[in-house]
Amino acid sequence: MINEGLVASFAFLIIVVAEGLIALFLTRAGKTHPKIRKIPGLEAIEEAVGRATEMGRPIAYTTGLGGIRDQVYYQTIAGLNILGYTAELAAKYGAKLKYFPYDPTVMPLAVDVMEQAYISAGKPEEFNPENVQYLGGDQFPWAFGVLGIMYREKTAANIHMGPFWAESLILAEAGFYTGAIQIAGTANYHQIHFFVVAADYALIGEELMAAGAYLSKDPTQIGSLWGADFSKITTMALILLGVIMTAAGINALNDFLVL
Amino acid sequence: MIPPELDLFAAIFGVFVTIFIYSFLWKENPLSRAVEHLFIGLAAVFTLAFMYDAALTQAFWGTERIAEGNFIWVIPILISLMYFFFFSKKYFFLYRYPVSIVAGIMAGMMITGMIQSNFIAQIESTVTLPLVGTGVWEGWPLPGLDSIIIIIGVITALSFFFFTWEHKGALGISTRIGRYFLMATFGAAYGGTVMARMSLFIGRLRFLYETSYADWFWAWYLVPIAVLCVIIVAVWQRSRPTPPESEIPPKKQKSKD
Amino acid sequence: MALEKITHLDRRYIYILLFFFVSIPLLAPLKLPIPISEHTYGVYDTTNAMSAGDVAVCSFDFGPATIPENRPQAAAWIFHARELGLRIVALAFWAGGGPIGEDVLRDVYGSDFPNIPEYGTEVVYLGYIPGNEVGMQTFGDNTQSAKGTDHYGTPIGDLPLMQEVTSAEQVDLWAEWTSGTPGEQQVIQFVQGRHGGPSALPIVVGSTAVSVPGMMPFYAAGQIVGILNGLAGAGEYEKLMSNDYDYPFEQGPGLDAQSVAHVLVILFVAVGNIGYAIRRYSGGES
Repeated sequence: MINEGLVASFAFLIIVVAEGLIALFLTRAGKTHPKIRKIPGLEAIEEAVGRATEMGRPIAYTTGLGGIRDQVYYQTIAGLNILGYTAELAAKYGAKLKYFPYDPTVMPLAVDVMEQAYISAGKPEEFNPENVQYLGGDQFPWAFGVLGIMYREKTAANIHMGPFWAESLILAEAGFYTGAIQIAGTANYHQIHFFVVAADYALIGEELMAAGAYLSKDPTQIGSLWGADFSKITTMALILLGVIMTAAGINALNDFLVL
Repeated sequence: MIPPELDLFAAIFGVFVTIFIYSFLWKENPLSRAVEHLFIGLAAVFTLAFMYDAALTQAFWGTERIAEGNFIWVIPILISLMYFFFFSKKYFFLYRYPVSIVAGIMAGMMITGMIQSNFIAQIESTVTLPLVGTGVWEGWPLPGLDSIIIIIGVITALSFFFFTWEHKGALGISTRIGRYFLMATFGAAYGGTVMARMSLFIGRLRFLYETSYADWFWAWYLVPIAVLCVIIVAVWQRSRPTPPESEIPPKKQKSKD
Repeated sequence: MALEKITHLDRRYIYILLFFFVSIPLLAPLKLPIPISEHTYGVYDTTNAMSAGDVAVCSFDFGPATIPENRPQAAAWIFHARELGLRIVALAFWAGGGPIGEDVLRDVYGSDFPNIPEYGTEVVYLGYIPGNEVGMQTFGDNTQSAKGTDHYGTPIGDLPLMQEVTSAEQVDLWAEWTSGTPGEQQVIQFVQGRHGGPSALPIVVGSTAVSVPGMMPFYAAGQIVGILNGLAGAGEYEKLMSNDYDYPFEQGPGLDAQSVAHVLVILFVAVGNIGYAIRRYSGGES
């Protein structure tokens, strides 16, 4: 019934989903209250918006090169989650927030998210869809476009949250030289180092995906994050058990993994 | 087919565009800005043209497509057309359906694909690392030591990403070690990035030094002219009055957490 | 102190230094020795182990931005595959890779490509296949569902090679030239994982150097059997081809320039860190 070579994958999937669902239902039912560890990068967003308001300069926001039709869509969605939070703060304080989508399919989503945020902040009339500006669907033209706007409009804060590739350094370094406060996060581990070095606050890997739960305090999201922690424990346990068994000459687990 | 004369035009254009865009490194100027806008415009048109062509070759023409009477391809076209409701005030919400369908497909595909290649195969390769046996603790670098470093790296780096437990006690030690492993990974990636960036720069320089046409034109002939253009524009820009800059308040000290 | 001052050096001086240092080996090649790495041998040995008539997919998943790294890798490998008599199904899952792929094939098969006798039987070019990962998975499952025509408008069903290659089951080797997503990880997940694993479908990769550290876990696990690492990987493969066949070793000056640039960058990093340490421990800023 299950394809050859995929039995272990299927079993692992069942375990991970079960852990996630149990954690989610327990949290939603109020039976447990997991606390999320501090993520300084997310705390700093309010400071960045405040600074932009004080200076009367815009905030540049990007979600990297991801769309919703590729494998890194989860990072884009996480970036849009944080965009909603940032837009709500910007609406509350009266700061100008500009978002630059890379993928055209993200554009309507971003407009939707930002509009909802302005409505939540009680200032729907202040939302201007032109603050969502499409700069072409090619890596370096897009990066150069964002860079040009950062320079010309002297953005007070640059927030980059999503999947980034080679453009990460271009954006982060340019932002560093313009003196803007920079908060950046990506789960593309071959690019995080640039954000760690050039941004004021960096979200490393999964911290980006935890942002939704961290900012919203929604029990469903917190529960799923708790479940994800359990799946990491399962992975660690499986590795330790496997290492010990292999060293002892028992190959049962290895045989199962290739089933 | 591209006429060969266009090669000359492409080389001339390429030299000016290269120098103008590199002039940004010195200072943002009208020439770099012009190339930036050209770049964005070209990228947008390229994406549009390719997507249009792809939609046609994907759905209309060729083997078992609409042109051959296979009308199943009408369904994805209709779903994708729902994106255009984004422009309607009244039916705006309808654009969310294609978005949901695409995001749902990606979620399903990704989970099934990743579980095998990124979890099971990686766990398997970690647990089968050599720790005992002949030759494992002989020679340099010791294969057994490599294995231990990898196992510790995997476990501790994974512990860094616990979100619902405080990083204290044993977990605190593990996350701290994991953090060092992550930083070492970032360093390795940085090295790779330097190499990649240099390759791109070298590629551009080789274009400037080596491009020729019909034995009488070399691209580098035009480099001084392009540089002169940048200098003229920079001088002109400098002579124009600049608006006063608003004061930049100091940034708060970066958190040490 | 001089070292302290250097940490505040205007970055534009660094650009100028870099420009001069990189230019020297390009204008007067240093001919530094080029050791062939284990990863490059992985690509070379795997390709050599194929038999004439085996089918290889060649996927151009990069855009214009990384042409200096990916294009020479792909050109050298396609040359090798052609010399060995492999049948090549070339395609691109990146829109930007579509026209570049055609250029690379013209480099190897001549400017008349695709109007060459072997087109359709020994080599086909499907061009850009839309859909990113979905397109990739569809191609692996059923090639004719992924695209209706080749790059030149010929229905796929009319091409003899594609009549034979109906899914990834008939593919013996996948050569992935990539600089991002979709790339090698997606081939592993959506094609290799669904069609027999690494033993049935070995994957060789030519990548921009940025992404190579991220590929190492897959290389260690055997999901990828060889990697050409950026421009250096391209140069190494060209070197192997020039040893075996009459193939031009064009990346020599580029590799020299890269070595010089790396030495310069290492010096900058060292000097910058020493300056930072002096400032920090002499009671300056932290």
